[in-house]
Amino acid sequence: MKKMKTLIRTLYVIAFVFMISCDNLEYIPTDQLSDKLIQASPKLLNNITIGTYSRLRSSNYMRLRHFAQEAPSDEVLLVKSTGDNLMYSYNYQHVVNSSVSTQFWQQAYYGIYSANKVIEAIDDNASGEFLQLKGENLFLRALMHYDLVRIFSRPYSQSPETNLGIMIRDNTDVKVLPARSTVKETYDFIVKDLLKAAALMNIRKSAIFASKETAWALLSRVYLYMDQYDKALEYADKVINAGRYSLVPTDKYGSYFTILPENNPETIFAIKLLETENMGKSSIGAMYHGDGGWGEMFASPPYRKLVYKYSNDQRIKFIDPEYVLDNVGNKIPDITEDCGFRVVKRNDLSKYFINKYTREGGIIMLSSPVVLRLAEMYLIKAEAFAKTGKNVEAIDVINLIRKRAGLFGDQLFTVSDLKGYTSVLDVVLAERFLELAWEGHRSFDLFRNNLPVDRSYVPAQAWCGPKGFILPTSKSIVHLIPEVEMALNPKLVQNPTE
Amino acid sequence: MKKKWFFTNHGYFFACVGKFLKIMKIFIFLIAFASMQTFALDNYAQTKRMDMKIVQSSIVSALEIIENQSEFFFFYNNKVVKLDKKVSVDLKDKSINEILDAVFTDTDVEYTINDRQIILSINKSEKSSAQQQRSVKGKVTDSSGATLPGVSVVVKGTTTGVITDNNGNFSLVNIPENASLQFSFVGMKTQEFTTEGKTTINVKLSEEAIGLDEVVAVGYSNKKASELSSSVAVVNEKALQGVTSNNLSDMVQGKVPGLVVSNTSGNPGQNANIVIRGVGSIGAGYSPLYVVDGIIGGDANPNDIESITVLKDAAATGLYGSRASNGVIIITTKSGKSGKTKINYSGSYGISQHLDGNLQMMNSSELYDFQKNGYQNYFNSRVAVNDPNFANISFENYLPNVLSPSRLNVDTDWQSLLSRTGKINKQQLSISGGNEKTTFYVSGNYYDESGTVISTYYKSMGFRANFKHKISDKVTLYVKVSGNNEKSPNDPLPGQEGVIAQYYINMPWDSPYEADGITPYNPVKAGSTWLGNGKSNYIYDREHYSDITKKMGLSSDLKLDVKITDWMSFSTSNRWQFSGSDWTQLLDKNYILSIAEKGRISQTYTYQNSYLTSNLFNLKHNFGNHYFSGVLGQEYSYSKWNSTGAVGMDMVEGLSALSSAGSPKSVSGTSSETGFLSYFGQMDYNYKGRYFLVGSARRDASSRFGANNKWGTFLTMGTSWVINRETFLSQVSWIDLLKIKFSYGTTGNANIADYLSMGTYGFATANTYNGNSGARPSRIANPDLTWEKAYTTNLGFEFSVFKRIKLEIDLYNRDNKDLLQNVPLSAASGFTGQQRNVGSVRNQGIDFNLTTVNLDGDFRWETNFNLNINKNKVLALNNSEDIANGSMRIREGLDLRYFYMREWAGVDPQTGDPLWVRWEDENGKIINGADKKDPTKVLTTNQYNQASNLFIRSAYPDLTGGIRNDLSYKNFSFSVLCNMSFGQWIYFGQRERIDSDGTFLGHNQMKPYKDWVRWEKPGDITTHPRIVSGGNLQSSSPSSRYLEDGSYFRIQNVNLSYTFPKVYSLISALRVYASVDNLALFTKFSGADPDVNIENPQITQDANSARYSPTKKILFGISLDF
Repeated sequence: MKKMKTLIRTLYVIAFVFMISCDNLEYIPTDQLSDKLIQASPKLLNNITIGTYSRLRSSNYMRLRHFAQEAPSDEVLLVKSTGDNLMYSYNYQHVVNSSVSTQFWQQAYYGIYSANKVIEAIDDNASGEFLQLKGENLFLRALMHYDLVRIFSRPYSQSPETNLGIMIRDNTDVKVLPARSTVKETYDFIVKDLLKAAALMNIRKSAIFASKETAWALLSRVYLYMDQYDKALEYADKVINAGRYSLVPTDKYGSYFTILPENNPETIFAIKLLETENMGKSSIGAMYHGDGGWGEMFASPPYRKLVYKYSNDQRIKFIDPEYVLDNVGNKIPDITEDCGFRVVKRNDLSKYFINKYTREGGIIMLSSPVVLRLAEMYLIKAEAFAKTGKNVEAIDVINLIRKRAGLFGDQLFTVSDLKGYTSVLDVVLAERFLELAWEGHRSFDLFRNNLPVDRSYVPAQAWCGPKGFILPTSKSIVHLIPEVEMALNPKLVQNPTE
Repeated sequence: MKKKWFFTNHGYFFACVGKFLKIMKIFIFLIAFASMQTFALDNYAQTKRMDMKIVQSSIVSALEIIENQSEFFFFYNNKVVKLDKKVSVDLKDKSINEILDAVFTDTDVEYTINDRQIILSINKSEKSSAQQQRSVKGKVTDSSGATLPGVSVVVKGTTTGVITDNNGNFSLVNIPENASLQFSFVGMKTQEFTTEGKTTINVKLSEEAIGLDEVVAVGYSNKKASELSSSVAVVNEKALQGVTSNNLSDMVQGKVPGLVVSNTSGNPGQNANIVIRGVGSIGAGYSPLYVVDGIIGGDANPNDIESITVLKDAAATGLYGSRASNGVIIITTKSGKSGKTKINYSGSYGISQHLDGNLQMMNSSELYDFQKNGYQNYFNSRVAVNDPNFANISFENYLPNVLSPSRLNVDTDWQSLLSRTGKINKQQLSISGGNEKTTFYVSGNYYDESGTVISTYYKSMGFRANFKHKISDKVTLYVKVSGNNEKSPNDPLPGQEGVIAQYYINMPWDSPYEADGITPYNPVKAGSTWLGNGKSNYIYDREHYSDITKKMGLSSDLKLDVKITDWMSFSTSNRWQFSGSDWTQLLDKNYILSIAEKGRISQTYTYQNSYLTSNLFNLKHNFGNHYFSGVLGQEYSYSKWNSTGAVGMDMVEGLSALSSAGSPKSVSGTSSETGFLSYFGQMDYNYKGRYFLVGSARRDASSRFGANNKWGTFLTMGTSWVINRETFLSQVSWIDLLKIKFSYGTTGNANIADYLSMGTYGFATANTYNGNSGARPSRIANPDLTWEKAYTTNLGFEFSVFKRIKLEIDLYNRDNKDLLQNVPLSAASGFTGQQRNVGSVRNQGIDFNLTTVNLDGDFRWETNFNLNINKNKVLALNNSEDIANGSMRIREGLDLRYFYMREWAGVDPQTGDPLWVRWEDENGKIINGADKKDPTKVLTTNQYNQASNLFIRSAYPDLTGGIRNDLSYKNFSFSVLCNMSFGQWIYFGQRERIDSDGTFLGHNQMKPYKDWVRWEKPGDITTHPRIVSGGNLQSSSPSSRYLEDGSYFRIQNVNLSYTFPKVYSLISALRVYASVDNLALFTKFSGADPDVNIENPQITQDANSARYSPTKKILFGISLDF
């Protein structure tokens, strides 16, 4: 009897023990949705698209893309060597493990994958709302391919049929890894996407999202890079004549980059950052401006020489020299400085801060970087005119841009007075330099036009790059394919090095 | 030709086996020698249980039954002792005394047990009655003065004896005048005293020379050390006593062979890394499993720890199988003893001193001369190439433009400015006691340390209450509750150079103050003339930010033991644990990182709730000489982690509430759940206490794994042979223990993040655009994801002689397979990687542990020497692809941590240029180590980008170990603990900045160390290239130039203590001590301290990860018992 009791007690305990354990151990995350669920729901495709736009604003895309494009130009002067890998882009000492090229490359392809998910999910016969979404994703896919091919491949003007472009990704197959296509194939792919994107997008969205005109504007630039001047002109005109955009008037031009992109009549596409997304010391602007930033990359002496030529040039306002003030707070005249006053120096270099990436809405370091704006469309037209021998038309467009910048009278060009420039194309390129400085155009403009970047202004003690001119034929004008990616995709071929 | 990419180590294990065979020979010799000796073993008579059933048989036949059933044998003179009397006895499971008492009832036979020998004689009570009889009483204490209940006090040569009561008191009546009293207690040395002329005998027992029969907490049960088949190491209370530190890693450093503690830090409250027998996992961590009071997980204040057991092999870790592949650390907290209530107060107070080791920074004029030299070389080189800018200027006129002599007017000693004498204050009060039914231990503690770098500190408070109550004979209840609360500041802040980085790199030319000498200088103000690269002035920063983490935890255990039958008991252990943290960062509008936001507040709260229930049946039975015991159990655990955070902008100074922010910036918060379910069983068997066999099986499921593969099976077995208990050795008295043991088994690892097997899209604040919620693909599903497994083999010997020398040697091999790894994917796939089970890593090695009592008596000297040699090797990786990991690279055939970088080839004696090694193929193209090709040519180049990246060497140490010496004389005791590591390599990346050749003009530089020589003129053979302002050909870029031998020998702790002999009535024990941590360090390493994390031995150039070296601590303490 006693044994029986013990046995019953034991069984009771065992039953208790097993009851505790009826958990199936399947838990569901609270901040993630299953991929099966999300792909089956059309509503969630919008979330994926937003996720891809957010990729553009991520530091690893936006900031690195910016410095990979801008640091090699003759628009900037780095005050000292920096541990930031943008140093390698700046001094043309590319390395295969630069965090700038590695992170940018990876972010771009992650974004392309997301875009492909949406593109694959929406049928070409879907309703207008979904076609718009598909079009936006086609635009985003084209933009990211274009950013990649600019940074990792040689200019289209240099045998695009044989030079290697980048991996074209037009599907979501995780296992099939593509090799690099040629530069021409890559550009053709971008053009195809943009044409289809423009056709699908019929909802007018503000300048922080893609619309039909955004695709046209990028098409115009891509055609210019491909030396297809008629097409470049055609799409620049489509944008100009769309009636959506107008140049910011002269009196407000100096504060262009403080206007919110949605409210800026000239901006065609900008990557929006909310006030809460201000990246402060990690922003693009932190490199350019000491007020809230590091302020270590200054306006270059050649640029200063050009812009300070006419003191009424509104584009001077995009430079904030840090003046030395006397006891009563006045600037001290100094004829050796481009701005005419004594400027604070660091490492013997004058601090000419750049303000295109700060004070949006009056907030220090806040900036929604502009990707496409109307002035560029005019300059594309001017270049296309100049290259097709339409000098008069080209000069007219240049003067339109110069007038907007506050220049007048004999500060403008005429076909007969190029003010020392030897060709109309030189005038156009100089104007692009002046107008689009620090917006990621300059080094590409030079190289695609077979011109060198002149780095002789950099004092040698802060420079270990090639001396003087970087020729458009130099192997160093492109970034190297990231080492880690080379290892993971054996089909990739590295860019040649010096 | 060096074949760096190919490297094998098959020979290593055979070498180990070779050594093993040599040791075997010595053992065999000793066994043979020992066989000739006579025999003694304690305790047999106390532990041996027997049955006796005879009906009207002779006493002689009863003695035969005893001899057959046991190892007892009888000596008697059959002419004197008559044993033909018929007796009847019926006894079960009784001790020898009880049986003999029954057998000899109503006879004149008297017996004396001398271990296994029983001498029979005739009772001569008539004679002894003639002797004078007397009484003796007294008190027994241990070496620390604590009373010892349960000590057996026996009149030698008789069966007369008593056991001390709860207060350690005993009294014996009617004993012979000149009797000899024998005092014995498990774990203590048996001592004898004569009663001659005394009525009171107070005895102090000292611990057994070498605790052979120490009870060790292993797995789900406690076992005698001598009966284990597995490799375990115990750090007992005594060994823990000397350490004054407040963290666990310091308590075990240098004491357990095969347990490597690294990355000890001077930053108060920072824990070091603990790795047991090498790292076998690539992506699932290397931290051992912690078990507190028998339950997985948990935490204990070092002051409350009674003992620490380290389980190293499969047989030991088997029962924790599913999560034990990195070894297990079992912590047992203190408990009360029945008897007088004991109050203990211990307090220590001390100071700490910052150590820079070999790393000394330049002062103002040294730095000036250094940079001037650089500018001179730069100037000369420009003139040499006819640079027009340098045509019409002399160096004397050029220099002031770039290096103003006014810099010499400032000479800030940042090292003394940013450091101070630290202070340590540690207090603990505990009360313990109870009666036969209930015992308790309650403690509270307080710890406050201010670090040697200004503004660093750590404060903690905690309590613990352990109760045990016997509800009935069969049911015992345990309740354990503990709580803790701690606080420390964080440094550095993201994106900003923290105080420890500034300590080294700030320029002596920058003054921390404005001209007035009081106002801190803001390096980023308009018109700032700050020269330092990072524009960081901690003296300014500290007034504009605060960044503090608070942590809290509460744990409660409820355990019920139920004795169901004599051979079966059930226990259920249940723990609820809460842990939380509160991180608050306040940056005001003048702080460099928050100017744009006009001040910022960030707060994140996290909390985790964990539940664990462990339910066991303990079985125990013996059939004659066959002893069985076993465990059947089930375990379930669940934990949920939650976090909530918010950031606000526009903060008015002086406010610190989120709601006082002018505008919100962001919110964050998520949660994550984990569950484990396990069933397991273990069976222990031994025959006559000589042959042991243990086996366990376990089935585990984890929520972290894929739907197809949640369950894993883990099997282990172990066996051991206690050779000295064999009859052929039973006569050898000087061998205490001779044992050989072997184990093999599998254990698992699930130490990865939750949900990694699922394919998902993530929604996060970072994925939003213009305020719209966005999703990004986070992972590709892997429904097959399953347990990482370690297959461990252990072969061990234990040998103890004369109770003074104990040697333990273990040889092991552990293969970790199906490693949990994030396998990187090409970005073209759209994903960074996928979690998979691929690859395998092997660790082989020897643990060696020797304890000797060199001197015994009043002056006692004990030495423990332990070392570990571990050889690590990656056996397989995903498709044999290397895994790049910064300046290291994981490759099949090499150690897991292997430096991969450009190989420094010294300085070109002609030009002073830096040189690196370049490998070329037959076409003159560069080859890197990663290319898996042999070079046709090995050259040097002065072009960094033309140099090859090569596999340089393993980072792992060849040997690690510790030596501990304990000396005591009367009431003084003195201990010295040293630890060492030989053959480890460190990448001292900070030198890229502070030992550059002119590249970094905005950082202070270190003074040349020892034999470093700077190149000056052609023909100089030097270690350092020509200094050139702006840099000399990327000479300070990462290369093996900055790779250094990090071998060291450290006097880690010296402790002197004195126990007062005279005890006042109120105070039962008083001990005072002085202790020095980090007394001396012997190393060639040029940095401050080479004890860096051996899994990532890099002191990087990243200013945010500069190293806070261990400090020298001098403490004085007192321990009082009431």
